Amino acid sequence: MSQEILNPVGERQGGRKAAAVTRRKVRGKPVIGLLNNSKPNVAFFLETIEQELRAPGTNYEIINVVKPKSAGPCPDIELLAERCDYVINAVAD
Amino acid sequence: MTDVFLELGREVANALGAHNIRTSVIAHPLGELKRTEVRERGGKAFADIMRNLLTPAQKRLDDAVDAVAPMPPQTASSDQINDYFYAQGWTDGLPIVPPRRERVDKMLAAFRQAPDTIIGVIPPRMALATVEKIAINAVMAGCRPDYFPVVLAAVKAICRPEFNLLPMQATTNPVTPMIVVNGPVVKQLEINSGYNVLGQGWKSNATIGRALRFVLTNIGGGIPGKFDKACHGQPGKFSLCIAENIEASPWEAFHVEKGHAADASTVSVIGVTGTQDIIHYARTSARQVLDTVIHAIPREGYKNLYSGGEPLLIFGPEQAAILGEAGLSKQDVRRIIFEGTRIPIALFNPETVELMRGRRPRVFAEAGETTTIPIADRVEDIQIIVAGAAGNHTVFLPTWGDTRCVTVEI
Repeated sequence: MSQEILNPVGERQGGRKAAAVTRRKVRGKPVIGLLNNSKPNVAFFLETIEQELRAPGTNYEIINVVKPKSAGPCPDIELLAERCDYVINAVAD
Repeated sequence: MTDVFLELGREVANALGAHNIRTSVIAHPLGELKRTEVRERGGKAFADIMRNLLTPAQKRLDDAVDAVAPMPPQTASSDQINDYFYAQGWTDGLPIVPPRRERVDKMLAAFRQAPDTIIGVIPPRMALATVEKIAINAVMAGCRPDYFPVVLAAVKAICRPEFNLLPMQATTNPVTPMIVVNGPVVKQLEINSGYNVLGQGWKSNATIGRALRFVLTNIGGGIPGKFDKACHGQPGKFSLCIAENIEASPWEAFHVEKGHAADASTVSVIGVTGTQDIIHYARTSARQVLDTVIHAIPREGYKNLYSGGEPLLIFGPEQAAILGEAGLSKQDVRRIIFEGTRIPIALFNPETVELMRGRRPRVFAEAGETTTIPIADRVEDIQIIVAGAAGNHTVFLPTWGDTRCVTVEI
């Protein structure tokens, strides 16, 4: 019998490339989504970012989305994908 | 993204195909800062965020491809193999059984499916848990071949969506899957359900739980500090596998509650964050037993309170008998504990209440501006198992909240 020593590390799943979204060309007023993962203080962090985005001289449409459970899926992910040119996702603890 | 999560965040994004993700990094932590500090940090990060957001990516992240580590030669000694595997991060720090082809083939012979059969995809690396890769990890853990179907069932169970394995693998919480085995396989494999059931001493319990941890580490990539971000972890992350002591239970078996036949052999996985002993001194009535449990369950600081989920109680045989003799069903016990452990909402600061309102909408929707918070969203979410041996003890195991128990047949 073979005494070969086998590698315990799993091979990565392939075929998920379709999940990568190619950035579309922005037309008109850029739409920016702010995705709050509901961790403590993330809302205040994104509030600051939103204030900067709304400062005089800027021209963005802002969409705020809250992921109610930090460790769960984002119920409004389709909305972000359809409406937004950019999404800022705050990830922190 | 805060700096401590940068590597993990990129790994997950890339594994899921989001190769063009841009990251701006701020210092950890964020959650403990005062609001003024958060705003200051946000203001400073803004320019970098916008630069990353609006500037075309200079370099597309490639698909995550790991260099395949060379394996030791067949002539390597057990010590050499152990040293090499430890250096690669493939062990739990304890010696492993070298996974030589001969041993792995014996493990594979205990299961009738092809070695390349995919049982699941393990995050955060999103790597394939094939029958053969699971067998290699089971050999390393010291499993006997006849344990292998139990390990495979456990892997299948943790891959079910409701178990929510991706964040579980990466969280700062000390959560780990606890395996609960029911049915005829318990006796066949001598899986301990009695004395020291949560501790050491039984080969089946020790190695089946350890094999699952190796799958999480080596296939999923849950290496501590790298992608496993547990702040403290817990001893159960070495191995946590028990059987229900159904002979000592006055109630129906755990797997029967989950819809399986009494004579079916099953594995349940529960994402627990630790164990808390509850000792019942001079508590001889059902009411006294339940009062001790109610008083012992913490009033703050464990995940079920903030996220709901399914907190678990393991009653020892003596306490279960007292409750059963009093005519209490499991549902009666759940209801008494559910009501008895309600916590006044005034104990929490407003920010915590707001967080709970988002994570436990059911509780707030049903009770309006509720004045107390139950430890679970529904009475039936409280899980009850009977295990252990002589002694006046119950164990409370908070669970991670964002996970549900999964039971599968072996």
